[in-house]
Amino acid sequence: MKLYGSSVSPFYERCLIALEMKNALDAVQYPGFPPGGMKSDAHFKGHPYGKIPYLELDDDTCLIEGQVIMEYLDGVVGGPTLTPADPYDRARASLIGRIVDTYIFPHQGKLSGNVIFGYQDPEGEQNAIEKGIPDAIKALERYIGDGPNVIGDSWSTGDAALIPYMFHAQLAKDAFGFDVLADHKVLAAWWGNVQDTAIVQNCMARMQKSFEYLQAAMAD
Amino acid sequence: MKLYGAHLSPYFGRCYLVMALKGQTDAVELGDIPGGMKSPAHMAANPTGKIPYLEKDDGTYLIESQVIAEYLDAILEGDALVPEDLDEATHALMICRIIDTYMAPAMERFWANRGYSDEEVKKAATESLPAAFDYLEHFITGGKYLSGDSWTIADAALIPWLFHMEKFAKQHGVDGFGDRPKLQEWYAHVSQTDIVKDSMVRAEKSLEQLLAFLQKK
Repeated sequence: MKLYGSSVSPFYERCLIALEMKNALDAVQYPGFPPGGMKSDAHFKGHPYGKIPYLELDDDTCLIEGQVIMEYLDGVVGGPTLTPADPYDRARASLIGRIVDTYIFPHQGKLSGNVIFGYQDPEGEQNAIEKGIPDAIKALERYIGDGPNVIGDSWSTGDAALIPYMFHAQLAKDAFGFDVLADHKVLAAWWGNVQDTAIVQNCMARMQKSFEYLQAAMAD
Repeated sequence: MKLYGAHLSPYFGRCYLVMALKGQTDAVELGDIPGGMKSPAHMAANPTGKIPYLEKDDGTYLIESQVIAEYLDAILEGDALVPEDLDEATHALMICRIIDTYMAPAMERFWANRGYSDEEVKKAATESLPAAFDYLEHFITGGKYLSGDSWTIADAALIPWLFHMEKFAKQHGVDGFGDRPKLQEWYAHVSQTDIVKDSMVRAEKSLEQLLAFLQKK
């Protein structure tokens, strides 16, 4: 299996971190960007919308969408399961990913887009900071448990979806002074519990490296 | 358990269809939003201000129709709509995701209450929705069902949109699924089933109720 994409993408990184939680990073190959670059013919063959990540299976068919790929990898690769057994806990874990994707990133993307690609959308950025992200975190926090992990005391797909967001939250803090943890105690408590783990540190290091690589490429 | 929302919502419709496909429509109580959309009670139950939401017997809430649909599938009796086989489950869930991420935003452009500009509506009808249909055509199995050879959660996700295609998208020149053989074959089959016919009737009735309410207001 080959996973295409770049670690600065939280949707790609969610798949990697899930594999690392399963001690199975070597179950998949990581060619990086699609052959020929983003939106190349090979890219559109793998992913009809020209997005990342996508997972090329051994029969040459492709899976798309980070959350779908992560859940598939959780099922197909050995190691501890990241899908809680209890149906409600399972729903909570999947809601974390859903809220990150549907409510946080449409707003966070305005901030990250400015920092990474230099996009300018002052109105969107302001709305993200004042309303979009705080509202989304309010919904998110209801489904975060008492810890140490999002669900109970082991890693789940919920942690895997949420951790990469925290790298982007740090980008927003550095560039805009927007500290999402200041007003969101439940999120802050979870982050306090997990941020020093090797899983999180490795994820942050991958994302930082990928971010710096992109910055250098943009500067060229 | 109580599911809040209205049958006109394709997201509420997805949850209801999961119950219908499992033969379990009596397992969950249905309710209107207390105080109406975005009322304090609604926002307290679901801070996103959306429908549907599910109130569990312990008073906690689940939100997001796909998450609720998967939860209901897991806890209710009846055929599994997320297949047990991992490859089959992944395929069905990927179709749901394509519907939510690419098709639904285009289709929501036709909702008059959202106040989209003529240009935005036209773009949805001529570009985003056809593109979303192309993606679906690319990924669906082909045959009587969207994923595999029996009903799955993917059918539950797409069927409620058929009413919106007929009622709203058509007004903007979207003629069914167009020249896409797999989607056409699916539609030809499902549109003859009671599952779809009943779903259309529920949505129509729900629309009439909404229009009557708006007129009174």
